[in-house]
Amino acid sequence: MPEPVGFFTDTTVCIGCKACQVACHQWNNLPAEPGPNNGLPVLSGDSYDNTGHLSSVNWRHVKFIEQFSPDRKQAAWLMMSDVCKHCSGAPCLEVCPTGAILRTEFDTVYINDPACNGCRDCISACPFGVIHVDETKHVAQKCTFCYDRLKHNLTPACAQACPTQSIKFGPLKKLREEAKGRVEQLQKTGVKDAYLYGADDKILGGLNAFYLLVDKPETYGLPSNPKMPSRSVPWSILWSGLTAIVAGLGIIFSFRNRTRVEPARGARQRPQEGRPA
Amino acid sequence: MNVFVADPDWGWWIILYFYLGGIAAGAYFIATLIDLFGRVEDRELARPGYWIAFPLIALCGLFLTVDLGRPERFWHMLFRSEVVHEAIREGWPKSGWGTFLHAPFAKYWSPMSVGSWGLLVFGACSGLSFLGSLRSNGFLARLLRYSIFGKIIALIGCVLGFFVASYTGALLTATNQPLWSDNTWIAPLFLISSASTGMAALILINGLRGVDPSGLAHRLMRAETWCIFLELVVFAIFWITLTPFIRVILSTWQGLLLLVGVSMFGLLLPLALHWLPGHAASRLVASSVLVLIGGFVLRYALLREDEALLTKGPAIAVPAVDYERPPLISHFSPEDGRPPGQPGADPMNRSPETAPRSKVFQGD
Amino acid sequence: MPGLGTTYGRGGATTFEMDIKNADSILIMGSNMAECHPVAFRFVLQAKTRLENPATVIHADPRFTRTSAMADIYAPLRAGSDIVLLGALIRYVLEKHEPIFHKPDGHLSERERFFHDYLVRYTNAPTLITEDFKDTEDNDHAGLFAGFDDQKRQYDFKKWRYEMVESKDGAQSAPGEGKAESFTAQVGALVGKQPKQDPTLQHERCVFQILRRHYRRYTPELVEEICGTPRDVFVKVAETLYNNSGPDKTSALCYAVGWTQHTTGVQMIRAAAVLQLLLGNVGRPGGGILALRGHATIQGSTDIATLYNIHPGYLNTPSALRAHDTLLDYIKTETSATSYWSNFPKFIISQLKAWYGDAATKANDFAYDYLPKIIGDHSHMPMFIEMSNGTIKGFFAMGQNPAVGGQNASFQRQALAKLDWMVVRDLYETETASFWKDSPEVTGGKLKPEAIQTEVFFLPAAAVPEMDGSFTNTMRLVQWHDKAADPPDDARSDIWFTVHLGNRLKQLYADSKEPRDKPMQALVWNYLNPEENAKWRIKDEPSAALVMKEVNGYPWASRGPEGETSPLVKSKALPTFADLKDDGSTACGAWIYTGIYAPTEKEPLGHNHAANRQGDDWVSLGWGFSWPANRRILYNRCSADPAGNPWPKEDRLAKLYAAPGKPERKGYVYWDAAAKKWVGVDVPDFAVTKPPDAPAKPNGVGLDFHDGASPFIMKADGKGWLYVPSGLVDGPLPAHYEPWESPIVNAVYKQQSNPVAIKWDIPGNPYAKVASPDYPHVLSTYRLTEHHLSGVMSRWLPWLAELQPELFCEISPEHAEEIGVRNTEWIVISTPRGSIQAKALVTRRIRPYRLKDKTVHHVGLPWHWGYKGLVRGDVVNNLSALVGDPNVTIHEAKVFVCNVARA
Ligand SMILES: Nc1nc2c(c(=O)[nH]1)N[C@H]1C(S)=C(S)[C@@H](COP(=O)(O)OP(=O)(O)OC[C@H]3O[C@@H](n4cnc5c(=O)[nH]c(N)nc54)[C@H](O)[C@@H]3O)O[C@H]1N2
Ligand SMILES: Nc1nc2c(c(=O)[nH]1)N[C@H]1C(S)=C(S)[C@@H](COP(=O)(O)OP(=O)(O)OC[C@H]3O[C@@H](n4cnc5c(=O)[nH]c(N)nc54)[C@H](O)[C@@H]3O)O[C@H]1N2
Ligand code: SF4
Ligand code: SF4
Ligand code: SF4
Ligand code: SF4
Ligand code: SF4
Ligand SMILES: [Mo]
Repeated sequence: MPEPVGFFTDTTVCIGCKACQVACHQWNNLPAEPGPNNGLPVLSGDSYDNTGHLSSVNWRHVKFIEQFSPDRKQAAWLMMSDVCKHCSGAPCLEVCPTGAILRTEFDTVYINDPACNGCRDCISACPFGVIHVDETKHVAQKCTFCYDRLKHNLTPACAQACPTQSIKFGPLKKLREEAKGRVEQLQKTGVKDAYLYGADDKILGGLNAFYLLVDKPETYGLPSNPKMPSRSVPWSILWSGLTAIVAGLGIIFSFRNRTRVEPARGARQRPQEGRPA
Repeated sequence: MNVFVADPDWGWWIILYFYLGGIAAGAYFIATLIDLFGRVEDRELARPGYWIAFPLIALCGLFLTVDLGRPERFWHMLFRSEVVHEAIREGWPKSGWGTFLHAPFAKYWSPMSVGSWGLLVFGACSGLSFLGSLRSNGFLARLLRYSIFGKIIALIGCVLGFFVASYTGALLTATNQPLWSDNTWIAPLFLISSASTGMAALILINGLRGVDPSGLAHRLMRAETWCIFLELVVFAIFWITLTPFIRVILSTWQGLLLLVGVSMFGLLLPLALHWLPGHAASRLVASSVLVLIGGFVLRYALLREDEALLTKGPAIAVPAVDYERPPLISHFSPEDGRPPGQPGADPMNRSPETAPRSKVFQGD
Repeated sequence: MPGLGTTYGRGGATTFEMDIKNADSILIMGSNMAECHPVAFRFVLQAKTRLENPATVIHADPRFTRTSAMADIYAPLRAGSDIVLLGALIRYVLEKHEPIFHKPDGHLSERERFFHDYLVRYTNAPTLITEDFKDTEDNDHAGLFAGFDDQKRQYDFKKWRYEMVESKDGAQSAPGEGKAESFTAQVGALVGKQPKQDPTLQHERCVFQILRRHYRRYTPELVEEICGTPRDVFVKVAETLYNNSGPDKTSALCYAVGWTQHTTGVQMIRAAAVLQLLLGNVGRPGGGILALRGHATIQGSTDIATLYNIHPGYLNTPSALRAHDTLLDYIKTETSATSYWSNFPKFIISQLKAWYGDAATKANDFAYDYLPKIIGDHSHMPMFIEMSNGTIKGFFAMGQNPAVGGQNASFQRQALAKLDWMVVRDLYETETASFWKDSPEVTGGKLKPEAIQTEVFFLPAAAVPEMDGSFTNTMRLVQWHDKAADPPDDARSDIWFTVHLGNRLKQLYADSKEPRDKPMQALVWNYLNPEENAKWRIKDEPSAALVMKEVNGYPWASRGPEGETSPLVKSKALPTFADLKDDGSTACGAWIYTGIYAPTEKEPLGHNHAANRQGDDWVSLGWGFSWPANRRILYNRCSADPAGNPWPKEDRLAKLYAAPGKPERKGYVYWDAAAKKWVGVDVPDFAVTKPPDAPAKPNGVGLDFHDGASPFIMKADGKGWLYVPSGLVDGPLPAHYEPWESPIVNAVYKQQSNPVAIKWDIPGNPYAKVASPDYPHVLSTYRLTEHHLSGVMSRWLPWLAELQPELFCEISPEHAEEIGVRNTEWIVISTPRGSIQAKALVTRRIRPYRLKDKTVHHVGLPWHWGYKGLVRGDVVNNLSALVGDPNVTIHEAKVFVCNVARA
């Protein structure tokens, strides 16, 4: 088995060039985001982001967050290249009822197209809004972590294309070490808000694609507390079981009770038929 | 509340499934409860439960299939498609059974996965019961309803009825969607709502048939009162667990509908009608209709609220408080707490044979 | 690139991208480096994220861009006000330096000694200027230098000269006319006197003091009033640069067309060049000026010139307006006898030999007369004006889309309509190719297709992966690329087109007896190497490698026999430009590239060094070929002190990059006293065996004229020119003039704008008045990462088009509120030349500039859209003006004025 691999994305050096997004498109032969502008999207007005979100054709998506005070004394423009996190405990994989979502030998999460029947349970489970259904194939689609490239010992296309090495690819263990060093450095140079998101096991047991951020996760459109879907299941069973028992007993009791009540006024009476012999 | 997720786009097919499937399951388990525990003379009241359970659940199966992106692959939920294909390559069903035996597939922690099997078996039970209830007497009725075999079917079906009624709620909860995953009371809510709507359906059909209105009014109504009351309690708990998010939820019309529509039409008005002195059949009919409407509104609003919250997206001031759910059973699924490199939810994984996506690898 | 050229000697970037990672601070100004040069920007970020002493990154730009987002300090400034800010930085440094020159010699700290030595030995700070010189401060801040002729709108450069040492023995013999003497021998006659110097820098006419007086009024307060840069930000910038320059630290500076595209662009770059000299950052690792070039191989296309006024290798094109009548005249006017340019005769004669071969003989001045002479400014804008006048009848658009990229594009499109014929070679049917049917002039009814006589030939071009060739990038690095596939159908590479067009023309003129057709007949033009095409469908593709070999140069005698296979295949490439001769025995297309095809042991006839791919973690001499002579940092003699020992920073870096297996190095480039030569990690940009203490020879020809501590070998005095006595037409020192169109009156001088700017008062090209109330806002045009130039290579591609699908105009929320516009609503932007529509992108990244007595709104337009392609939008250049910098005739697309209103 090869070592678990991951991405360490250092958002402080992301220049929002979207090379990763384009490289992913190209390698995976994906069409552009559809829209009304001669088949392409219109200007979103949301900073320099015109594709809006991860989608069935954009497996990478670069986010732009403008943070300016009215007097521009506070001025920051955050950029972050979003992708499937290849969660250590992967909600999508956990719920998938067809087994189409697999963990590969590289410890990445992979959707095996031919098995998927498009039920979309994985979409509801993924805490990061990663998975979408393809409009022509009608199956769930997301970043494959360039499984085909990994198999050939190649760096994933997006990491390869990233000009600033904001996306670093490598063995997960090594990346986590490196990331810790970078956070320490930032802290030292006064970027007190720098921290790692998903590098330890607090978030879904760890994210193989983890991030260095300088603001709270929500600023980047990331949940601070994503859930493992299965954790709710025992509770649901418990509450449902209790309710079922109480309801069932009530129903049984209603039919067991021998007290006769006067027939309602005006209700027609009819002999009951079909009584078993 | 996580508003950064994608919308699974569970629309009309699913709303109808949740609703009609709930009625079917409710009607079925009520019917079996009557059959199993009720008085002999009440069995006639139960028959319509079987009549509607099977057609509705069959219809639901259709809806679910249609809703799939790839309907022709509906069976992938039950059998590992790759294994089946492998077995077929080996000549299944003539041979290749050894491989095929590995094909059936379920994840006990995944409501959808277990649900598919549950639905299948429930469908079978309800189908048999349906046949057994076509006539009140006769061979089929004896065999499929009154015999020990029939009782076993009813017992299994009853349990599965409760299951089918509630797993859809667990399905919504076992996600990361806003509201759905923010409490664990949707499953019991759906369950009890199934009971009340199933009962309402029974009352109406029996009413239409003109079966013993007085007995009907008497016993069915008492059961119905109980169910509605219980639903009110569960509904209240449901909202209490959502306290941190109430402002956000009620800022959408779907959220308002969920609170007001369900409590008014589905719960308070029917209860009032029940609790008013006297037993006007018309009131019973009215209350049942209201309950059926309420049950629909519940599914509709709950499913649509997700979309509404997501459309509002990060723009809504999401409260920092998050719904903490300490696991009842830790590591319920093998995926939960899986260390990197270890097998997780799907140990049966085999490396997918990826079709090369780029020209570079073609031919190697 | 005379901004760098006149200061340092060569127009190219002084350093290489990878070295930026060694900088201690980096000033990016006049470029949106992260967006337009993302790969080079990686090294900026490497400097910034380096674990030991991370660098401080500064971005000065009117807009907050993706570069600003990465910077530690963002300094906003109003477009076109750069010289004020740079001048204030120069003043800041000068005033810091000034006390050094009052201290007795022995009392200098290491840092002071460094600045002292660097200024006195490596720059012309001590050089005296004649009394004729008058500064812009004179006449109550008139803003004009000595020698201005109001009528002609030009300067008399004689008024800016160095003062020379008077008595000089061994006066030169008058330039010999004797034909027997070689051209090079005659160069000696051109050697002049040594300039007068005051090493104490106290003489009131020495460059240092002139500079101090010139920039006296460029204070932080002035910066705040004119640039709109907050004073505290300016001070932070100044301190950062000053503190991060010196013996143990260096700062780098990156710029691009945010500076060049101004009527004062050359002087902006000059100001930066002066600043870097004053800070001692030139010629040293982690320092220098990185001129970020644009188009792929735009550096290459000035080296191997596509420009009208220079021949390959920066040899001036013979001109009818100069004393260029005979070869000797030409050589005498163009040769600078006291620099490496003293070899000029070898360069031009080898070039003539490469072009005209056997027809170029000593007897006929090596066919010098075959060369056409230019008769004026034939650059892009004048060319289109002549086109509009009907003088120019035919036009090739090969890899250019002036219908979108040209200034005052509507004017340019209408000029195209006056042509008889036009050839467009492109990958797609561009706006230029389709101007006659799709342009707004046609759809708007101004032009009728049936009335346009221009015959348009659209020829499909091959794309880069479909041909062999090379790129010369920003750092003068030539990198080879191999053909990966045949081009589709009839598409052919440009080299194919050019070579075959040449062949057909030669055929056409083959039988002519006209003397004027001689050049065509004599042209050496055989580049086919059938062997290279064996595996491809296209069999008559010329060999780019052979062209490169010819560019490199070879002894004419080594040329193989003419035949189907080019004689170049058998010719033996020259190793270095030192091997070039002025007697016609060597042929060389562009002397600066000599060495790129130098022979190796394995390939005695020549090896393509541009294809080398042996990189390391720093200088990477084994990766590609960097002209001249594979040097990576130019003027690297500066990386050692006058005595030839490395400065502390160079010492530290040498240790840092030391690795087992590599030869041990003490510095970057330094004098190895034992070996008696200059050694180091780079190729020395100096006479390799000239000792640091070598005295200047008063009559020395070429580098002999300089002493052993004169790093700028292309300059006549071997020094970096803080003050430029010749070579620039608009002044020896940068002075702030407002852009041609400006919302404010020049607050520094009485002179409003560049007094010698090139303007065209012609119909269709009106300008806005100064501070015109009709056009109150500053408009700047620029690029986006997601698109490429006129958009032909990005708007046709869905993957890029989706990323920035529509033309937008960036305005501040304050501005939006004033005109009542919300985000993504349509607005109209207008200038005296025209108006266009765009969607408003309202963002705080744009800010209104609060100047001394006025608040000015800044409006930003990316200019990538046109009327063809998958995503379309109005042509932004319908707004811009035909007006040019006087040195290079570049337009002023970076700043003009406009009005903005709701659509
Ligand atoms: N993605 C991409 N990259 C490219 C290109 C492309 O089209 N797309 N084009 C290539 C080409 S040909 C070129 S020439 C280069 C150009 O590279 P750059 O010069 O970096 O590009 P621009 O965007 O034209 O302008 C740079 C910046 O100058 C600022 N600016 C405007 N006026 C002034 C001023 O007066 N002073 C200062 N200090 N700044 C000012 C603008 O706000 C802008 O941010 O890019 C090359 N790289
Ligand atoms: N307002 C404003 N105007 C500007 C600028 C600005 O900043 N603001 N910037 C200016 C600058 S710096 C520049 S460089 C110019 C650029 O202006 P242009 O050079 O006119 O614009 P491009 O879009 O680069 O045009 C290049 C064309 O070459 C084609 N092409 C690509 N490869 C090949 C090939 O191998 N062979 C052939 N024959 N064609 C090929 C492309 O498809 C494209 O159509 O624009 C200038 N105009
Ligand atoms: S990010 Fe979403 S899609 Fe990716 S592995 Fe995690 S849950 Fe699955
Ligand atoms: S949509 Fe496909 S991948 Fe997602 S859960 Fe359903 S079957 Fe699995
Ligand atoms: S790893 Fe591959 S599939 Fe995933 S985002 Fe990067 S390029 Fe796309
Ligand atoms: S390629 Fe790298 S720098 Fe560019 S947007 Fe993607 S992550 Fe950011
Ligand atoms: S497009 Fe080419 S030249 Fe421009 S940054 Fe990328 S690699 Fe460099
Ligand atoms: Mo350019």
